[in-house]
Amino acid sequence: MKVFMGSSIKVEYKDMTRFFKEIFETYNLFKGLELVPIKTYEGMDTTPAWDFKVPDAAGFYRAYRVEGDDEIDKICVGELHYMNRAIYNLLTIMPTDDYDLPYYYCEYNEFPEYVAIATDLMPLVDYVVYDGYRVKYLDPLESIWEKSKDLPGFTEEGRCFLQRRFGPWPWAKTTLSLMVLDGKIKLPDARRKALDASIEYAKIWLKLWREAEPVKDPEYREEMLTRKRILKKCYRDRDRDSCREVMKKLFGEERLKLFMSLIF
Amino acid sequence: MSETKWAPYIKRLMELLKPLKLKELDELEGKDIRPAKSFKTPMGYGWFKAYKADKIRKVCIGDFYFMRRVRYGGCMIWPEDDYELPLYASDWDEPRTGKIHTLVDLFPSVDPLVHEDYRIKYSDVVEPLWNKYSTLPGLTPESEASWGRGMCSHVYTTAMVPTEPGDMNSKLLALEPHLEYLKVWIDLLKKAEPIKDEKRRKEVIRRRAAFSKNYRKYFTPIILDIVGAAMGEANAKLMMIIMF
Repeated sequence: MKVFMGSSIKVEYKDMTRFFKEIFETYNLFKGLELVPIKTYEGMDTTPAWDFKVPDAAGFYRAYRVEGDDEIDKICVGELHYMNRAIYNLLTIMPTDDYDLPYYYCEYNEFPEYVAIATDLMPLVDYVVYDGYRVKYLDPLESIWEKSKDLPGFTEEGRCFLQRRFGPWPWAKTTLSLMVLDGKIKLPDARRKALDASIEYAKIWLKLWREAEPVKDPEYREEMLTRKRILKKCYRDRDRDSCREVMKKLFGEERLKLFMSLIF
Repeated sequence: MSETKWAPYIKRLMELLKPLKLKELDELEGKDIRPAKSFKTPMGYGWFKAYKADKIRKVCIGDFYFMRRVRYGGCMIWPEDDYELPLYASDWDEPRTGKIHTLVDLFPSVDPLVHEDYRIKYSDVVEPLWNKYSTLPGLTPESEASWGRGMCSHVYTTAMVPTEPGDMNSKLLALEPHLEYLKVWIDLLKKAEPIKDEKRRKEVIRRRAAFSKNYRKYFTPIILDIVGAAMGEANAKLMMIIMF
């Protein structure tokens, strides 16, 4: 049930997007791919992430590889249902170290009042220096970015690129690309359009992945891996929006480490 | 047509730059740049100059008035290779009536994700301004060209500021970030010490070269297309050498 509250609309928990179902059924994003669950990752048993339940929260972070592929390190889909009030959803795709494909990142955190969304292809190299990287991996997003950046919520304060949600965390802002879509969206129609844009970004990523070639230049590879390592470490170790602290309280340090490793 | 009151863009920037004891240059990259210091064509007039100063390879600044309808101003400051300071980048496109396109930034000289110390020292200091100007009227992401937006840091300020004829207040409001970012940059300049780490120095040189290359690659055809005829092709090409 959607309740109108002045200019905003509240969406009840039961009506919130079931992200996993949307990804796999409505959008059928991975059609034609055989996704194989990753059972151990970086020496950790992933079973505790597959389905979990604690007093205030329930959900999953499910990581997959693609059968017959050595270019995708992991695809992670997650839903964290918190006190039957909010759902923290995400979809991420990380390439293996031989490929310079960007890191696909989508968080879609739905609350009654709004969706906090961030979608991007985070670059693994400095695209000022490597201009060809921007042309190859980021420019294909331009038409979707152009179309989506004016959705109400993305532009509330006039900023879409590096907008307010990432504002307080400069380290996080430096991980983002020039095509990031980031904001808080209230209206249900716009929520759906923002999710559509995120899926379009993912489709572009999958297209780029199908055309990907392994990195040949050892110096470039070294730079790429350094940036990738720093990016991953930032998100795994640091707290953004007190998210890490809340997660730690809910699940404990060990499971938090597992979840973060699957996501980033 | 009544006389247009243009914003004091150059005047205010020069007031801040004057204490740096600028020495005007006549030559850059083996080219005589004097013809660009003042030129006039049937469709417009303008000037572009470059200066040298302590710790600064070149301060580039200029103005072009096109058909008395639009004024294109810009200022770029390129530090010496021995200093890792960011580049000061300012773009000011002021039509006689309508929206001013304004963009100002400090372009990092190294990758600010990889070098967190750099980000803290040179970008985080701009954060208060970035936040302050989040209420600038007409604030919008730079969307004309991805190469341009791609060069910006995460603290750039850009807007299409609406103005009315004779409305100087809006123009001054739009101008303020350019001056405030420049003040921060000058403060950083005063504290700047030569780079000690050779690897870092090479990274600085490489990233600045990339800025220059990208500008010249992508911006030259745009300039030639939009104002090449009005400015004169030779002046337009000199302007690219001076500014970028």
